[in-house]
Amino acid sequence: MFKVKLILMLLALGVAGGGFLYVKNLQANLAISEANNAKLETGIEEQKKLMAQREQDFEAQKKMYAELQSKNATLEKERKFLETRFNKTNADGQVRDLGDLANKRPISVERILNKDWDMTIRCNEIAQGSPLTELEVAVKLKTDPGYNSMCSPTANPNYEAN
Amino acid sequence: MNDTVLDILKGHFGRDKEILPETNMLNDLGGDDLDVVDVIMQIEEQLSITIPEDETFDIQTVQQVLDLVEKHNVQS
Repeated sequence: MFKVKLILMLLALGVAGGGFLYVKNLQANLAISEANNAKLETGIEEQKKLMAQREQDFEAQKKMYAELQSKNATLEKERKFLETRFNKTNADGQVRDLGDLANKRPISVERILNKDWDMTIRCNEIAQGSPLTELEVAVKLKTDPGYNSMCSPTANPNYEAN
Repeated sequence: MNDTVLDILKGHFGRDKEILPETNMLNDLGGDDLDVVDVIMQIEEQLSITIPEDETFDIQTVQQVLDLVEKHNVQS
């Protein structure tokens, strides 16, 4: 009888010990899982941040591209504008000959070109970030005082022909 | 209006353009200051007159051109 009790006791102790070890092992695995989970969550957060940053970069690139396109369009307008100024064709199909004009009306052409030079300097100032003056912004007609004959598309945003 | 002047203006700015004495060559006909010089040069050549340059500096309207032509046509 004593032997049976001893065996039962040993069995019970064995089961309890095994259970204890099993629970310890489970706890260790759980701790590892929790640590892994925390790492994953950190990873996910980092990925989210990265994606948000990428989205921001993409938006910034889109904005820069739009600005570049707008600047390009303005430059193209100015190129065409200057082309017509010095290479204009009249209604009868005659191309403006600046050399001939300068030869026959030197004072007038010199006066105009000097004015153009002053306006070119102003165009450079605007290109370097100088804000437009009220007179420049208000221009609606070529005869308005702030009209710039060299870079009107940039200097006179409200001029209708632009 | 002087027919020669009108013909020169129409040939320069467009046959379909309405050109009246009060027409502003810069604002109404899409011209610029070099167009004005060009037009005056053509008028001088066709009418065989001489218009001093300093009298043409601030010309903008057709009426101003007509006045100049009248003044120098009479003189020549």
